[in-house]
Amino acid sequence: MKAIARGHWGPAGVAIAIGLLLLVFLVVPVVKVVYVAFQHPHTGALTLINFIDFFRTSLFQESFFNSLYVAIMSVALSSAFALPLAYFTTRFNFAGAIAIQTLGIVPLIMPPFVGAVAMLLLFGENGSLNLLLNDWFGVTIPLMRGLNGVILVESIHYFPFILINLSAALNNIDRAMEESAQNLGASGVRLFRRIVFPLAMPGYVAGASLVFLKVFDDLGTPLLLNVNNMLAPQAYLRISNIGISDPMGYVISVILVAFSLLALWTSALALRGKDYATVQKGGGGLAKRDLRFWEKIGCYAVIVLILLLVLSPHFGLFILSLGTIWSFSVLPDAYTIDHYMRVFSTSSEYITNTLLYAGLAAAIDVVLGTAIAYVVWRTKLIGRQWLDYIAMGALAIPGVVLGIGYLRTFYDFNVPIIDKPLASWWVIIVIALAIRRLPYALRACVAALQQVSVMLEEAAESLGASKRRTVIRIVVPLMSGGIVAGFVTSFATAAVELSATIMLVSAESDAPLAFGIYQYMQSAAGRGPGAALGIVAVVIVGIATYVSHRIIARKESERAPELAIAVGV
Amino acid sequence: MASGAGAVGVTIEDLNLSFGSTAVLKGIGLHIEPGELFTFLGPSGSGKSTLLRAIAGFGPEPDGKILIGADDVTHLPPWQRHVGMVFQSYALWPHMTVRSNVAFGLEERKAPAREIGDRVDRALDLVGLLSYADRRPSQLSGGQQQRVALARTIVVEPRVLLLDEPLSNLDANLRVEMRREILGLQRKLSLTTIFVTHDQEEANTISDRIAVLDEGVIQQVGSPMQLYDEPSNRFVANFLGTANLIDGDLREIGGKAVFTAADGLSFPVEGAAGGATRGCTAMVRPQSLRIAAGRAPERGGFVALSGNVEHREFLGSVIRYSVRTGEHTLLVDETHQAGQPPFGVGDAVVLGLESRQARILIE
Repeated sequence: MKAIARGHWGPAGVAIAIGLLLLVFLVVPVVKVVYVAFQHPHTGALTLINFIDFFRTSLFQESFFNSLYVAIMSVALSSAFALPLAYFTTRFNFAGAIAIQTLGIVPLIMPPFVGAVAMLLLFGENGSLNLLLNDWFGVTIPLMRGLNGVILVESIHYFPFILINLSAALNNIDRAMEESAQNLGASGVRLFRRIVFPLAMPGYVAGASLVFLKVFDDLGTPLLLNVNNMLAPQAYLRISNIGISDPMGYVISVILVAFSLLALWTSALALRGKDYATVQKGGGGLAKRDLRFWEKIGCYAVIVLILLLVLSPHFGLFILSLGTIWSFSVLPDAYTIDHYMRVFSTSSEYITNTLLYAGLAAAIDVVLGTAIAYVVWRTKLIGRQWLDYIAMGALAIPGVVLGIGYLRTFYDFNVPIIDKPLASWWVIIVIALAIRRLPYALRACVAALQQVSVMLEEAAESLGASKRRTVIRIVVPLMSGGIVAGFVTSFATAAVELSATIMLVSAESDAPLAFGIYQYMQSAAGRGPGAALGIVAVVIVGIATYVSHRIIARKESERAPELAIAVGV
Repeated sequence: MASGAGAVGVTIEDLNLSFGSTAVLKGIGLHIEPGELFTFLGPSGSGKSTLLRAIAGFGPEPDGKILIGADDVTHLPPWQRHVGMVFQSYALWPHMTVRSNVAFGLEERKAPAREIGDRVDRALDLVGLLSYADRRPSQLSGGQQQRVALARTIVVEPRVLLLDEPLSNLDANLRVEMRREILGLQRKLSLTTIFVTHDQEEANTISDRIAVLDEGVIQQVGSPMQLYDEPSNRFVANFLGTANLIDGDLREIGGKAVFTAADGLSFPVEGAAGGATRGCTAMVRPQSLRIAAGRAPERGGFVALSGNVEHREFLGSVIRYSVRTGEHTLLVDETHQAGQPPFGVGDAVVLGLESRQARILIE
């Protein structure tokens, strides 16, 4: 009886602690932001006056429609990049299909605002491409002018979300689904339109709504391209220029959150009751076909073009980091490693801060993620799903909004010993990063836990291990692959986060990489060092991603047989 | 619906097929009669599903010929063959209702809307699911999904119906019920049907004729009873049921064929023409052996073998004894009746073999 009682109290205590943490650092700040948006700036009474003011101001109207336009166009352009890559690699026998898929997700490991400057130099008004076009044909294309630039940069960065989801959806369609349609007389375009496309639709919608959400909320890219008439930059500028009491920043926050929720809801709606991703017995993905010679040439041409375009920020940034002066010319005048020297001698703080913040945040995330996953999936506590819902809700909270919420909520809270507001202590950055990246780690942990058969736990318990001992000796070791994956995803994405950090950095010495890059990129002279710092960020994230792949692959091969049995039962 | 008069046969001539460098089908030749229910029976990996899929036009293109009726379909894509296939996983499209699933093939054939409605209703009625027409496949049970898959296939009146292990995803009771239903439907429509299974009981109960496949080669074609009683090799003998297989030689003694095993066990064989053969196998089904206590006198046409019970299994309708006699261990089935005491392990028994129940396999 004692063991049972302890088995109940342990998880309950953990659940309550996590719930409190989420309440203080996620729910309260967001509710505060929403509340202020509906509060009269002078009397403090509840009112809609702020929203009326917002929609009466032409700048805000413009910003609203610009944000919407950019988000929708980015979804369209991302789809144009992702569709051919996903379709060609899943439907045809293709040399290098895996390489194409891998290169296709490389853009994700560089924050979009980092690539933005490189994109300006390559595709801007006086960039390499337009200089060449002007020389040869006397024309220029305004690829990077105003909103176009934001759309292009965001699409290149976020299209992998569509690529990953759509490829997975296509790969998961049971071959018999297609064959039975062929057997009944369907082929070619009709087969694609009536069977393949509808079956892959949920995957596409999931990816597309994620792109919409990310682009709508993004602060760094428009800020860096100096496009300020959009929602997220306006929220930031109002708070940083006018002050924390200006209601417009809060109104914009509410709108950002509302649209994020809308995008997530759309995605959930698209996926609900449509669990098509079930390769049944005798299935195994769609049949792949060999291409004829000319078809092959055409496919490779399209793929190479897309890959060149989506990888151009990386090339551009690399050249920029090594170039002396790069202005009004196709390539830099000369090459040097001075930028790297400068970054390592004067700005190494940015790097160490980033490793510290992202590392701490990711560690917090996997601890919370494992605990939440266990509480939700392995206990019968009442209301346990709410931990999952709230933690995942962080996805719908843009960084700007969380930043504003923290400033508003924690500015008056003095941390005892160091005697300074919590909102301007570096630890707040770690907390913000941890909360923002918790959903990634949580999903990885949940997936890992679901791979562990309950029977493996029951076996340990029947041999005398308590709940706590079972978790430590059986569950966590078996989950370790997923936990590592969660850690790395959180770490890599936290390392290049800007939108929440930019609001919470109170001293240069506390600033992480992303902030440093942003600072450098503000001036023409800082572009070289900024790019060098950007490359450092890409390398850090790249190494982390590679290591996690290796670890996960090794873990999987180590336990494949037992796990397969455990899952199969 | 299709009528018997329109039924066509299927002819397969010297069909070879490989996945890469692995030969999966080797020299398949078959003729399936119009209106027949024909089964491909074999263990997994025997090529039975590959052969069925080749007839439907799926998988790598084979060498050889496939004729449906008089038409050579070997090089036609699946959508031009007019054969109906029911998939092992049913492959119902989850984004469509039951009705749209069944209507799909008719729509592809550009049938008039009115006719589609009527025919879909009739097909769903035939499988007893008319009231489920507006549900989604995920809202149906396994057996119901199976019926929808059948309706979806027969509504287009295919020339041949192909069933790829259609019962393997159902539980035991439902399997028996569905196989009766499939047989009833096939008889009603007189539709030439090819059924793939690895389950010999399923094959025996449903088929007019069976082709037994192993390692991409047809081992034997025949009616279920023929295959059971007169297997042409050890594989067929074992796959269709439990068999005692005794190695030995066939000799001619006094104008009569006599089978002789290594340890001296011998018995005359009837109907084994062809004279002396070295290295052959005698097959005796367990129920062809009689078991009795003690020592029984020899009678005409009976061979008596003395031995001891080594092992006993109670199987319900029969008790299966494993009896050691000389160098051989033979399985013997005795019908079980309530109250009848079984033999114990170690008991001395005598086995009676009626020599015409033994079949000589010459490979």
